[in-house]
Amino acid sequence: MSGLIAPVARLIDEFSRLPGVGRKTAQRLAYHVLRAPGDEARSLAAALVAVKEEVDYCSVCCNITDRGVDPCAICADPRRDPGRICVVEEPLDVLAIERTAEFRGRYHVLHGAISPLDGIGPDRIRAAELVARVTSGDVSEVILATNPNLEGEATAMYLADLLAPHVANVTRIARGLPVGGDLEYADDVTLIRSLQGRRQVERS
Amino acid sequence: MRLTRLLLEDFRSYASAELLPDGGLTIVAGANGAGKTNLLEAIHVAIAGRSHRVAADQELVRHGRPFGRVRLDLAGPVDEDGARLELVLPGEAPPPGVRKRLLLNGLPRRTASVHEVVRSVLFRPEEMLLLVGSPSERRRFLDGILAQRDRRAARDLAELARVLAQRNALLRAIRREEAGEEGLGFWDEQLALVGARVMAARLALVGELDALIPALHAAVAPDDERGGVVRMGYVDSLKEAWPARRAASPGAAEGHAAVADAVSGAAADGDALWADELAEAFRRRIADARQKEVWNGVTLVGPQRDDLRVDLGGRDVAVHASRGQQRTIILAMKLAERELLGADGAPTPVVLLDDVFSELDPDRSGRALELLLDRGQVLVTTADLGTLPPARRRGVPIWHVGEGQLTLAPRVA
Ligand SMILES: [Zn+2]
Repeated sequence: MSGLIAPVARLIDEFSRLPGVGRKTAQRLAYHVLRAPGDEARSLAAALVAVKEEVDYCSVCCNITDRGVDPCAICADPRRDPGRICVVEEPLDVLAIERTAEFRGRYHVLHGAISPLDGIGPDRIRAAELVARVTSGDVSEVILATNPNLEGEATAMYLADLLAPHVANVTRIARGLPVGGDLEYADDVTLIRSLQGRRQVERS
Repeated sequence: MRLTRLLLEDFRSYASAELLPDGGLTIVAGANGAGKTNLLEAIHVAIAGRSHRVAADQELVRHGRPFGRVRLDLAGPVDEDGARLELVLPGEAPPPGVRKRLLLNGLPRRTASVHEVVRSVLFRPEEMLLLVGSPSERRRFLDGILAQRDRRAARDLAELARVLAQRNALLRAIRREEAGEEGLGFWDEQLALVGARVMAARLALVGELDALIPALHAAVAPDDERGGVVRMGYVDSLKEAWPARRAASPGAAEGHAAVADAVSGAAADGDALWADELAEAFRRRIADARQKEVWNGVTLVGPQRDDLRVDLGGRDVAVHASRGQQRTIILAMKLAERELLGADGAPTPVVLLDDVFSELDPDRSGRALELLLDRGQVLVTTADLGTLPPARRRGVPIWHVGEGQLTLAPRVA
């Protein structure tokens, strides 16, 4: 870039590689770093390096884990049921389900969903690792908890076909109305899906 | 509801602007390029959710500004409350937290719920080529109506676009031998399902247009153009995978105009049943086209290949009608759009005529305006006040646009 001294231009280039960051935003970020105290820049640089150097992938569930901690804390926990695997797209989805304290099985993190537009085919998600897990261990149920959008459904469908010969139970999380919400304010798709997924009233 | 005020802030060429439309006709005058279209675009973007002119919302924001804002004040009938619709558009470098936002009375809303309160019909000068232009223009005409009046159809159209983008990407990958054909199954089924729903909705709409347009055409046509009946037909791309089409209209060639006639009744019986049959037809057609799609690396089946055919006296107007005849028919189509969007207790659409009278003779313009002003609001832009029907100019507020400013001219007595 003309008129810019090299280190600034280089930082702008690096920032603009990030997803969702355009040229303008990259410039603003670069100048922010430039004006900030030296500590702040050093701590940002250290955090960037650490995320690559101190984070590993669990060899069992493919979730992220601290370097040297493999299997991860959940996979190593003897109280977690190894016969039940919940399959999610991203590490953040594990955190969301963990917050509920409802699920006591283990996870499998795909690190993505099938999306031809983004060049992500079945070979780019951690599906082979999942098949290896279910064929080598005693797995009674795989719960497909990919996102309820087109890409998540495509992924769930693909995995269901792939796992069917190996697992007795392949289930898909239900889609429905948010608890505590009014029907009136639900969006159409959510309403339609919850009608499609209706079930018998349980009577006591 | 009636539009009582348009407020712009950093929208396109305007730093700020205020327009107070009349309950009937409002005229916006200014030289070409002065920014007249921007005003109508602002109203249409706030109501329809996106611009017809640009792909990226940030292009709508005044150059170098962090965000732009469009506000519409609406008044209901005397015993009803008004409403305030506000659209915030992020610019190139928006402040943190500023996203595209649509607010109705201060509450975030989806475009689909806005259409329960206000709708609009935009008539662009480019639409004067609707009948001779590419099929995509005619599909856009149909889909524009569907998206405003039917939330289900609006959602299906968006989903169809997404399915097609994904499926085309996969077909390209297969052609490059980077992916296998087995991954197509899921996208085939999505295409069959959503494609059938979109086609069923379009078929029903074409049936309604076909019923509505002859009378509107007769009302605006000059004497020498009356006589021939205007018919609308849907041209699908299902070929022999949909035998019901031929059964429905014996002897009809594929996509013949008579089709709409035969199917509109069936569609009215229930979109769902109809969509089931079409989904089956799409599955057959997708299977037939498989090899060709893989070779071409693009989806060759689906409503994105369809067309609207218009006949006058049994002959295709794209080939056989004069320019004048075509314009009269297009005018009738836009009048029908207004009728359909305002039907069944829906809000009467605000009609936005972007410099279209310069393309029409005073005779047709006058009759069309009479029909439109019969009920509802009309905003007209023009570079030449002389092209407006004189009888309608009297006593009408005229706003002048120039140098990014909007000013109200004194009323002509
Ligand atoms: Zn693990």
